[in-house]
Amino acid sequence: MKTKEGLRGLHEIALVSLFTLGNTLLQFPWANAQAGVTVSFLLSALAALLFGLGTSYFAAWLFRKWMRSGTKVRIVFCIFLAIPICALAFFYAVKGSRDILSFLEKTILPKKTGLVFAAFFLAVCAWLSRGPRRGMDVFALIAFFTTLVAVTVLFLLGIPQFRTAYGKIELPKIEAVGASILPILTEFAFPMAPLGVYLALAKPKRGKSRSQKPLAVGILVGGAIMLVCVLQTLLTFGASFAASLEYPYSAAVRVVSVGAYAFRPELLSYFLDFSACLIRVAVCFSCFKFMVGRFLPRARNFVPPLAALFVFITLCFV
Amino acid sequence: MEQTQTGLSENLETILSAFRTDASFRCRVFQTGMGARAAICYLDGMVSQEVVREGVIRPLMLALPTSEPNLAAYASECVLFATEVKGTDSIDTAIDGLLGGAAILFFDACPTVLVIDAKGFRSRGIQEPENESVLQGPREGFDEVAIQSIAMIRRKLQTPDLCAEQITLGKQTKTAIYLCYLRRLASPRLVAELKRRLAKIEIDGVLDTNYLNELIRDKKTSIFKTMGTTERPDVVAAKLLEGRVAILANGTPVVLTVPYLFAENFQSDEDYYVNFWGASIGRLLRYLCFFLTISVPAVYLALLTHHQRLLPTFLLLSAAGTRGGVPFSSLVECLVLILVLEILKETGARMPQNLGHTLGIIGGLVVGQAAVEARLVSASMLIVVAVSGIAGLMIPRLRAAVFFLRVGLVLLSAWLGLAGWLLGVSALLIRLTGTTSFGVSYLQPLESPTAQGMKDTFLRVSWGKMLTRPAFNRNLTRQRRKKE
Amino acid sequence: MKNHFFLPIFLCLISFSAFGCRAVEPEEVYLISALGFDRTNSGVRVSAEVPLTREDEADKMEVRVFEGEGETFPSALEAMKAGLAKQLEFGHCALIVFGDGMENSRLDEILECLFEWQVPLSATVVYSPNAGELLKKGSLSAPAVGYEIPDILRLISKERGILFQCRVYEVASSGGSFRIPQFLPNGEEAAEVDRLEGECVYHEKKAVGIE
Repeated sequence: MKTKEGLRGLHEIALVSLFTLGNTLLQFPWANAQAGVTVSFLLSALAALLFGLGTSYFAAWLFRKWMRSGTKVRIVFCIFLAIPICALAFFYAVKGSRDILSFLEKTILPKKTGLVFAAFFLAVCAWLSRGPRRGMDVFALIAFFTTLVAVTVLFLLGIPQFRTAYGKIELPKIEAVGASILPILTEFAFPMAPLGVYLALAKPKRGKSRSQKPLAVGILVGGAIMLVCVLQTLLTFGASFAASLEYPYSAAVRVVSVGAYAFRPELLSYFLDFSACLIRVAVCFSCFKFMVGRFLPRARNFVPPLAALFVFITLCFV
Repeated sequence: MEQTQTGLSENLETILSAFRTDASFRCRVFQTGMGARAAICYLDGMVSQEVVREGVIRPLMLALPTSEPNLAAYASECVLFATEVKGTDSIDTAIDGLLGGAAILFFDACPTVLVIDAKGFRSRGIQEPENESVLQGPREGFDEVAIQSIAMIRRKLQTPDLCAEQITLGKQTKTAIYLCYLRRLASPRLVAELKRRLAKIEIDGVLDTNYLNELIRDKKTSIFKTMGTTERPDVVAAKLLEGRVAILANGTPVVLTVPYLFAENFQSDEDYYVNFWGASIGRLLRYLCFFLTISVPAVYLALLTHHQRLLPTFLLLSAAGTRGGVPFSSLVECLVLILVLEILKETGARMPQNLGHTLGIIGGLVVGQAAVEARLVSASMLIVVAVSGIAGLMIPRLRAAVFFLRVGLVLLSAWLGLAGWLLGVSALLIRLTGTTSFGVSYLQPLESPTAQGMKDTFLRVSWGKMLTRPAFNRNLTRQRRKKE
Repeated sequence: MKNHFFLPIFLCLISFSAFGCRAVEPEEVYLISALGFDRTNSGVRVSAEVPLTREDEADKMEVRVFEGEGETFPSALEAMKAGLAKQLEFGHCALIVFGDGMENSRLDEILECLFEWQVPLSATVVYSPNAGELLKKGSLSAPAVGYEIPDILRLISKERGILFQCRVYEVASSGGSFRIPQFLPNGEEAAEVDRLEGECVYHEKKAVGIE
């Protein structure tokens, strides 16, 4: 019989995979990648893996073990470290919400309903992160399998549109790699910080379930899914045209045709983008919740709704 | 608590004053062979006349004289032919017994009154439940006498582990409630929690198990069922074998089972009596129908009114053509049709059977044909709502939830298009993940998915592969059978 | 407590807002099946082919071609819209017809317009000396020319094994050098089906000839 740790691992993999996709899937930084996009992508995945694992180990050691001694100096130091982490979580929550809102406003949202959608979206994220961890896990598991099916179906249906001429793997020039380092860090590496902190603090205090293997596997699985999406975009449009589009993967899916009498399969991609962004924002709220909860346990449950409110107010001006 | 008197006439006067206006109250005073006078009181229709006559009056009349000081104890041990006799000094206990179908026996110069079990009221007998009929499998159903229902369960679970604890609830009805479980399989914490919640109930009367359902469930306002209901003894036996607890109540054939999982809404009683391939197809169809019934009207409305480019071209042209001249917006059309569908379903359930075909004609001709020809509704919307309604009939246990979800998603889709539908479905998922049934996650086994746990969820694998009991049962004996 | 607080507000918001939502019914839009771009003496002309279903006979369709002229393509579209009672829906446009003179900056302008109007990237692009005429000729085998020509190309591609790379995104990503099928209006007989007559070759955004 599988151990409880083994079972929990599957949920973590699903959560981490969806988080890795996040809002990055919407606007993969093609502009800086161009012909060397495959290599840039692999660098991005590596950066995400290292940063995610590193943050998780560091947060687990710092906020669980080191802070446990309870000396005032240590607690104050931890508070000072928690502030930039919370700021990062807030930033990526705003970014994730902003990105999904912009994307949906340009695709499926009716006119002038953007802020209403944002309010409901943030309320749902806050609700998800406020509940027990089990809720986030099960939601992520269901969303992950649906995403997997959607990506596979869209890829298979998109094969007739592929042009093998676009599939040449080129090594990018050094300048191009250099130029893409910052986007790689901001889009792939830094967002892993709230995830690493969340997983470090949300795990149970005792037992073997503190292994980091699901985190690593999740990032790789998420990266693999993103690779499939990137490949589909690349083989449909080519790197340079894809870079000129605002939402390249969404556009690649839109040209997929199943015949004159079937619904457009791009319906599937909206669920993918929506659930990935929802998980990302919810995890950022949870990171907030657990960070505040380490110092003010009673205030923990108020954090997600407050965070949602602040993000909403920020969205009104950004 | 009023005590009994020594004299026969005083006791009779007390009892008569309580039942003066009750035409079914009977009282017979007679001379016993033991030397003292006695009186037997009962409610006509509640007792078996034969038990009273042959088990009580005849043996007392034919008894030999005795010098025993406590005639009630002597009669109870040596004279009466009844199966259950209890002595009491309390008039209230005696009256309770009388109201429960017992006969009460007074002796002159003896303060003890005997409460004799002589229940003989008529019951419906064993019939197949109307709402849970099967093509293959047992056809027994419970009736309104809980003790007989427990006997039916005991016939299926012939083990001393089967417990049936009684609780009385309802100040006026004093309904007997029974908790049935298998001692070695049910979680002691679950049983204790159940007893704790039942003990907190203060109510005038409990006429059906649904009263208990609404008073003790986890989230009282949830639209989802968190306690199972069934009228079939085989279903109850199967659930007890999985470690669940059954709650029976006198006066109703409906039995509650806890904990209840979301996946049980999609299980049919027949799933375990037919070939697993057929059962699996049925299960998958039910999951699909749940998704269709709540989503099809909402998605269609969103595509029709907000995302026309996502619809196939010829479908859109056809919808535009059929909608021409319809005075209502698509949203109003959809809501009205959903309402009409619910009215037809409700009327069909309440109507006598011989009027049912009339309803079919009215529903089909009037709504289906005439309304479309009169351009009150469009054919495409009618088809969509009808498909949604038919899909909903596959999962009767979720009827209430489906209605609210369907309307909620329609309103969200009308407002925010597909994004609204996505938000609604996400909110539904989050709600389900946060729902519990007596501490067990509603979406088990998704919370801790194992190969064994999933074998009776979306599919029903063969009995040869179902080796363990469900994962919610944290008790020791998870192994159902040994691997071959 | 939180459920009781949240639910009624949610229901009120939904009920209140749902009836003020900005839905567009399908009969309130013109579905464009094909767009044509032509040069005129004073500027440019945009032609839009629109299939219409009749209320009394939903299975019968008639096709109309709306036109608008202006100095630029957006202004030509605005001129077209000014005379229409319904909104235009570009999401089902299956055919783009380039007329004579759609080169260089005009080509860029057309592609920009197609992206802005959210014309599907998978729409087929063809060439005809007079795009408006091609659309007005009508079609025999499909409800509209916009659906007929892509069907013809699909059939030819399947039968002869020819790969046509003439969709909007293929033209847009070609960097100005592409080949698109040429369709000529066939005489003055309205019943004649337009025929594929070679391919119009563009090199660096200029039409260099027919092959």
